[in-house]
Amino acid sequence: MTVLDKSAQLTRKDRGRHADRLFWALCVSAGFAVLVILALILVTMVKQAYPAFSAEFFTSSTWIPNDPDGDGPAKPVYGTLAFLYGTLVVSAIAVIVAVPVSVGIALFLTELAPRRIRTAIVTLIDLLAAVPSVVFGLWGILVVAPAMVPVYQWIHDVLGGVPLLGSLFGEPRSSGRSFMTAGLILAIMIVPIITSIAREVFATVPDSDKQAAWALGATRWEMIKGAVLPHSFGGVVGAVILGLGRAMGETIAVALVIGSSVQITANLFESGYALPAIIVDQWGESTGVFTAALIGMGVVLFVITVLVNLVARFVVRRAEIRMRGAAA
Amino acid sequence: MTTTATRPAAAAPVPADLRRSALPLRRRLTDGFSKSLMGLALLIALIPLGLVIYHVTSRGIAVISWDFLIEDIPNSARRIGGGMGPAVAGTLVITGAAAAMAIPLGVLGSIYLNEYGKQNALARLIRTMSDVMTGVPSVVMGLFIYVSYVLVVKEQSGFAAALALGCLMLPVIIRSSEEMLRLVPDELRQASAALGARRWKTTVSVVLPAAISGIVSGVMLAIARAAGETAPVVLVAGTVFASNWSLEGANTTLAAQIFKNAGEPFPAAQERAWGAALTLMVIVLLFTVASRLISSRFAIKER
Amino acid sequence: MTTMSSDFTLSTLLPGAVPAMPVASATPVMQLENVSVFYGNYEAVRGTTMAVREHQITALIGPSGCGKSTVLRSLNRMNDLVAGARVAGKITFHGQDLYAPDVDPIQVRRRIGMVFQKPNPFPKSIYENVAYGLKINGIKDNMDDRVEQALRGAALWDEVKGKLKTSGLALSGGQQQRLCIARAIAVKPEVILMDEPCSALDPIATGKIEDLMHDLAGTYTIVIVTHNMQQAARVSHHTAFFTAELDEAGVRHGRLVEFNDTGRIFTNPADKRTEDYITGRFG
Repeated sequence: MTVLDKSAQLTRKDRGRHADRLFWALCVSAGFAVLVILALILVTMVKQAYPAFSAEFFTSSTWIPNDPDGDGPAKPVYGTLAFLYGTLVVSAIAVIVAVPVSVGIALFLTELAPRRIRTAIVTLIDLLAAVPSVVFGLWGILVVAPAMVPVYQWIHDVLGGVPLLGSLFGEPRSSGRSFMTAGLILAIMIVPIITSIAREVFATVPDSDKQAAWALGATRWEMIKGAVLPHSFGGVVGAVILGLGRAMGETIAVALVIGSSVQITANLFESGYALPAIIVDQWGESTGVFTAALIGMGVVLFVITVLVNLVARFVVRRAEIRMRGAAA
Repeated sequence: MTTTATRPAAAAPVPADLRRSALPLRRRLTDGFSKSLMGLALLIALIPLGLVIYHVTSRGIAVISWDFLIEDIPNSARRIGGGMGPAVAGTLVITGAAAAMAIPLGVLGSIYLNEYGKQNALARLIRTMSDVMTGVPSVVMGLFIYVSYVLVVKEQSGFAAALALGCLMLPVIIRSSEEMLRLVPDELRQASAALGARRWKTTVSVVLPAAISGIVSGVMLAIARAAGETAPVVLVAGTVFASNWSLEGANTTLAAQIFKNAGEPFPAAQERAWGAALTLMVIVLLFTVASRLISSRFAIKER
Repeated sequence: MTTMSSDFTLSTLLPGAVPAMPVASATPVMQLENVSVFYGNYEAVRGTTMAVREHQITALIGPSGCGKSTVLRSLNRMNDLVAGARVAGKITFHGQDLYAPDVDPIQVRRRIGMVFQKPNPFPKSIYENVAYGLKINGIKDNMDDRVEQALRGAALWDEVKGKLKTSGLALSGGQQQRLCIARAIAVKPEVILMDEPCSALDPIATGKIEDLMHDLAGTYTIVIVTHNMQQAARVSHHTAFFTAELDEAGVRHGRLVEFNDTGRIFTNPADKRTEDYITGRFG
């Protein structure tokens, strides 16, 4: 065969190209895995939760998952409003507490701290992020909650009589497990994430703007107020929304310290429940529609957190584009 | 231009008082106040960190011993003694399996994003969705694996937990590895291509080795985070009281045991929770510190 | 760098544009005595002695890396913002040591303003840009008048009076730079430092800024860094020529070579290095 030599050449070349194709295909499928998993989460969970979805699932705050006393005609009721309420309240407390702290730390790191201290502090904040949430939960239930009772009592004694505030700061639970405790623990947990994004945002403020403020005789705070904050508003809002998303999905710490009462109350010192918390708490006891209801709450949680994350990314990206436009 | 000499003098007083004390009090106070608030913010964050570490260490150290690390978990929460052996085993097996699944997938995915997709529509979609997936609550991931795997094979198992943790690690690894691949200078790729190397050869033999320390560092952080995840394990792994070193059958982890014992009113259970917490913290910190060391020791020279 | 014929003189460059003011008569506002600027252990500029005279324009010229911007930034303590920067020697402002321990850099910068190379208006409205310095200094009365005055002073009023609420970033480069000048003069500093204020601008915008500098010199003392020699010749009364030289150890330092009336520097420089640079034989 006279063409053998030539064809061998060709084959080798082909094999090389095959290897390239194969590798590319591997990589693309790995990338696709993300899309597939996200799609599967939505599809499989919605399918499984479907029996639980009803009008009362979204509108009722009554939660009677099993026949309570085992004899009655009581039909199970799967209303999730109380859990949604708890999740929102607890996340709101967390964000309100964590945002000023995180922005303060981020400003301290970017505008105030000398470089050497900066690295040390960043390490400490990373360490805070590394503590598993269940450890915060353990600490929260056994140390923080009991320790906070006298504090709550004092706040209640001082503010309890004030018309509007009084209803927020009512009689505290003796265990200390409450919306407030859960919110505070959550706040600690989302500080690192908000801090790190806010830091990135502050770091992108153009130096020329800061110099302009300095050259006018601004003090450090005036420089921050005039040059840094206006530039970073959008980015910080994005960071806050991301923190909110994280807070809403956080499960274990909240499950341990929120106190596990199905109720809607303005009193932040009362115990309550949250969407993720009810899922892990009652998972073991559930069957049938009960399980479907828990999965249904997972779907609600999934949709909320995905939306929140998308909005946050959108806000951050728009802020970035605006910044680049301003710099050009 | 001859008129310039007759212009009035500037309004600023001469000679000016340049001392700090001449700055209006209000401005000085605002400045000082804002700076102290920033310092205070830092303190507010660091105090809980210090307290958590203190409490976990002081209460955990009283419980922890070699026996604690290997003995079985008592099957009644109120019983004194026993250990966390099964949970240590479960943590290692489950986290290890999760890493074994998520690392190759994540690194390959990041190679797609940085070496092939770059800014095309698919890559951008995957990038955004990875970010979104990072935000998916761990409890949802647990439910997902329950619905799509446990219900199918009809068994709660360590493998199911590993699947859930792997799903949680995947987007983290993709994004951090991509970040590292982006730091690899293009000259390296071009040099390799100029020698006639194929794309995959270039990627595997030049780009990956150049970025490996950063990738490993990111992977370690992801492992540290996964080891501390609780909710998915509680949902899909079931529970055991004796060590199960295989992926089949029910299993448990330190995190899950902390959760179960923390809620118990019995001091014996709470003590086990503290001991498990210290053990978990040490594991997590080891991985975190290792990650930092690797990234600082072998960092790619940026620029 | 523009190359020039060797018979280049000030008069050929700018016939009839020799600065009008009798240059030696004005009193010095700032004095530099043996000033060296360090970044960490590196001495960027060494041993500079010169004076900045009231209501006149002093130009700092020289090749890149000669330390002229560094010297400029040490005059209002902007160098303080660079980690490790340190000034040795003495810089006085009306006889007061600017680097004395009880001197607050914020007070210094309030009186010695600065305009930068790249126009850097804040991402705020034109009005807010000018008002910013007034606000932080606690001036609240007659804000509209003060803003208008500053904009007129910067020869920008007629172009922007109808759109004070629009963003400062919407202006052209030259207008942005004049906005920055308006922002600087709104707080009525005594001295204005300009760090290559025209290097990012086209010739027409540059011409406007140069005219403006002439006008401002009646009210303010100006120090300008430029690497455009014609510009120094056109606008300044005094010129300091810097260059970068290797010391015994082979380390580069910026150095003041010659400081004199602009006319002298460009027509009859005392130093050979100045002459070489002026006539384009540099390097």
